[in-house]
Amino acid sequence: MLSKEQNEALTQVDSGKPMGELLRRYWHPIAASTEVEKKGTIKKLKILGEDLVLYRDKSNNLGLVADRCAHRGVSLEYAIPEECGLRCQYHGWLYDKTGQCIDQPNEPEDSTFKNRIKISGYEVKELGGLVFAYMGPSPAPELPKWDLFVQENVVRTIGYAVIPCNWVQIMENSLDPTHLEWLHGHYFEHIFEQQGRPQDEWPITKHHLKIGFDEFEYGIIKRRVLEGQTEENEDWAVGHPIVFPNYLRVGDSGAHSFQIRVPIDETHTLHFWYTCFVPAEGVKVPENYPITFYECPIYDENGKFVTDYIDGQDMMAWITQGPIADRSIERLGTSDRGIIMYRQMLKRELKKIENGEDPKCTIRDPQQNEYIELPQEEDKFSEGGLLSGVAIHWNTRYAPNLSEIIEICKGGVISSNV
Amino acid sequence: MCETLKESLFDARETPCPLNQEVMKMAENKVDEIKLKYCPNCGESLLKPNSLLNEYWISQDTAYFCWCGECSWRGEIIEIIRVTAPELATS
Repeated sequence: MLSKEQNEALTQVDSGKPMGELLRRYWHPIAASTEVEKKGTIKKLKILGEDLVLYRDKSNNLGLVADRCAHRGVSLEYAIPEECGLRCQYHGWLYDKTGQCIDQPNEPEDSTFKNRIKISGYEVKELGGLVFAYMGPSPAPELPKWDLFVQENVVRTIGYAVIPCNWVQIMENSLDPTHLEWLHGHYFEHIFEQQGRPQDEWPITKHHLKIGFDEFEYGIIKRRVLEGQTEENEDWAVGHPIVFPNYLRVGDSGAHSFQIRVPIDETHTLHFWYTCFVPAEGVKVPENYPITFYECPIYDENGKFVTDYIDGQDMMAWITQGPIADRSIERLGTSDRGIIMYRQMLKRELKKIENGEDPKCTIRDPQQNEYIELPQEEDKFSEGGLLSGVAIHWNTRYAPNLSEIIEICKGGVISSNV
Repeated sequence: MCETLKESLFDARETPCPLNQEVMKMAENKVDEIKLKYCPNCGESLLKPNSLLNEYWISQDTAYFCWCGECSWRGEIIEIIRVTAPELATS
């Protein structure tokens, strides 16, 4: 249980708010590269409470600037991408990628007015099929090359959803290992039963005997010992990390994935499920195989949560806590210590920036950033490729090419044309 | 009682929807407020937004996880209801 004030401090993301300032120290994915592939594309976005437009100009450069023209407040979603920047469709004011106005066609030729006009403009970079933005103070740190973004010979998919709740309750779910045996275990068995599907041996119901959390260089490593296991098992000995501040790394020998939570505003989160399917030994993934981008549904046609897949179950749990979970009425127990540890880490890292230091996971050394390998158990739940084996029960079931991916990973021949 | 809880109770009495009834039920079980207020190390208020004072429960015990935003002291304080001693060795 937290006070109302401490809950607010934890969940607010606007510029000038403590957590908003901390989050602005990191690169965040804001779109899939395929969404802005074509020159002249403009995509309207809201990130960390700021209305923005992401565009690709005619020189093939990406830009990210405030949505409103400084002149009369028109939305730049309908602007004209030029050779170098974005021109307002209303009176032709041209902004470069920093948001600086560089042309006002109807002002006197020698006017210096444009020099005093600037809208927000942020640095953007592409990596691993995603577009990342940095909205903090200069100089920007390195865009972290986490292993999944640069790993070779894997098949990537990117799922997404706009989730109507605050990002912190989504992250806290990732510091709560025991929910797995219930929400994705017993509850899933209940869903199977309701749907008249065979329950078989659903291995995710295994009972947790022990959970642990260790801080490491890039975040927190989660560990678990399940019934029938010891600390020798990979679930404990290796575990998998929360990459500070807003990634979960999860997977097994057959698929590695990130769940990335980017605050849109206080009550909405842009969620990415970024998966790398690992082929069987000796299998080569076709060169330039596309990264598919797909939406993961939250609700069905009746407005009810889609609860027959793991990520749908998670979304139901996150959203039903309310747009911003009211932590002044929560009742945490000992199994929630990871959640408390994460909250404290957020506060501690905030203090670092107040002291003029870089917060955790700020990478400034390009050499350190060549390839950052993260720990992750491969033998999950002592079931080997448990999660990749149930890819049809994950968000990846919405990937239009899932069966083809499975075929590729087994070393089969591609049968369709994605 | 904190403001949020008061508001929730008020809302619950006005509108007897299942969610609000649940809030009322939780409120009835709530016999305390966050009792701890100050950092045991430096005396600064732990209720400030830059600190963390997280109440939770260890079986029957109420525990307070504290992190002071001023001095960075971190620790847990457990409210004592009954003083017990460990069982003495028999051999």
